[in-house]
This record gives sequence, structure tokens and C-alpha cells, in this order.
Amino acid sequence: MSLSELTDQQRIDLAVARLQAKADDFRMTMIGPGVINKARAIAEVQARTKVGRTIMEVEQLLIEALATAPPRK
Amino acid sequence: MSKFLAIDAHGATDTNAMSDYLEKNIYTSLQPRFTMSPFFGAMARAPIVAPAAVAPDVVLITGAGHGTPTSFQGFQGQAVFSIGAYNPDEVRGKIVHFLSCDSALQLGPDLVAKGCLAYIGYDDNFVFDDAFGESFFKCNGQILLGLADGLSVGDAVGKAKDLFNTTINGLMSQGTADSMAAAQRLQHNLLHLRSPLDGPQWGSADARLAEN
Repeated sequence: MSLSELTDQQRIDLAVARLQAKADDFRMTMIGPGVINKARAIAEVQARTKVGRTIMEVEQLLIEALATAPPRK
Repeated sequence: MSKFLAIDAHGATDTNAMSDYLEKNIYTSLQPRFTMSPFFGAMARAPIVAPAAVAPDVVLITGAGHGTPTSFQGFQGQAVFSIGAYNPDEVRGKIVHFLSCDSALQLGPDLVAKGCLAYIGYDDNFVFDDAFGESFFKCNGQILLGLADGLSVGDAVGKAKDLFNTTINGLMSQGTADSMAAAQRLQHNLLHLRSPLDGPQWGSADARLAEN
């Protein structure tokens, strides 16, 4: 199954799982929303807010980049 | 000498970081060819900016601050440019570039419909992180540097996109979790950068800064 085949809920679950696996000092800054820590990031994704959508998009870009990157030696 | 207006909201951690970068590294590079009219902090308010913006020798309006789909905000979240609340003479014949979230969605096309030559900005949240923040601001700043060098809007944005891609590839090749995460945050910003290259609603790709 590819990312494009995931349902909206599956995308949310995937993003939350990835965020939960990140270091506790995870930070992302957005102009306006400000500094977003791990707990807030998870909450924003689960609540399907605009901030959460942006976080999900960045996570999906990262997954796609890792999936297409050449294998590391 | 032609003027540019620099409108930086300051007042919050996120906006301070990008404003500091712009003021130290980008605006200074524009000043040999253009005179800067600064509107920083408490000066970044519509009643103060508007009279300066209508001057015919102003060729560029730029800045960093919070944004919404319909507004660019200055000091304490006060709208400096908001749909339905500005004089079209403030933007007519000028190029506008804002480093803010969302304002390319509706405000940018509205400015262009009112006579702005070209609008360059972002149609989603602009994302960055502290460790690599300067790389993010440098890519965005390249747009202004290109314009100041006499490039058309299309060429200036194209050159900035090249820098985005080079920086993204460089971060990916570092291979650390932090650098790869930063690369995708930058990729997100690149995907949401809007300019005349994306459609005429953001103006003319052939527009360029007039030097007097």
C-alpha cells in the first residue's frame, strides 16, 4: 500500500505514530502558531487543525523522501 | 533613488528570528540600489505604513509577520494590509513580497487585482526550526536579492527555487534525522511558495524593480 492509498484517518494515525517516536525535545516553528512541541504537534494532528495538516504534510514529505532516497552504504 | 518599504512585526519568537535575519542580511544588501523605509515593531501599523506606501518612488513592499489568507499583520497582530481595508494606490505599480503564512491565498491575488505588479508569498504555514532557521530565511531572501540585482520576478523566484532545492539536497545528504526533517520543512515551504510563475492571479513574471 502506498501513501496515496491511505485513508484520512490512516494518515493521521501514521503521523501521530511518527510524532510519538520522535525525541521529547522535538520542535517545529510556524509563523503565527509559534513553537510547537511534541505534545502539541500530536494534539494538533489528532484535532485535524490547520497546524496539524501542515505537520502531516511535512511528515509525508519526509516519508516520501526516505522511500525514494538511494540506499545508504 | 527608488524606495522599498520593510515592514517587520517583531514581538514574538517566530517573527523576531526571521526579521533579525532579514534586517541583518537582506535589507542591507538592497540598500546600495534602493533606499529603505523601515517600519519595524510598533511602526508596523497600517496608519503609519499607508501614507508612505502611496509615494510614487516606492517600488517594493516587503516584510515579515503573521498572516492570514486575507491579511498581512504587523505590530501586535494588527493588519497592515487586509482585503477591503487598504488604498489601491498603496500597491499600484509595486512588487509585494511577504514572509508570512497564508497571505498568498487571497490577499496576494487581491493586491494584484488592485494594480500590484506581482505578489510573492506563501499559501500555507511557513515552517522552520531553530537549528536550521537561517537556511530557510536565506532561501526566501534570495527572492529579494534577485529583484535587487535587476532580475524579473520570474527569474528572481526561479533563482530562489534553485537555492531551495540546493539547500534541501544538502540537508538530505547530511543524513541526520534533524537535517532530513529540516529538508522536508523547507520542501513544504517551497511547495507553498506562490508567485506569478504559478499563475497570473499573482501578477506578471516579467515585472521588475524600477530604479530611479
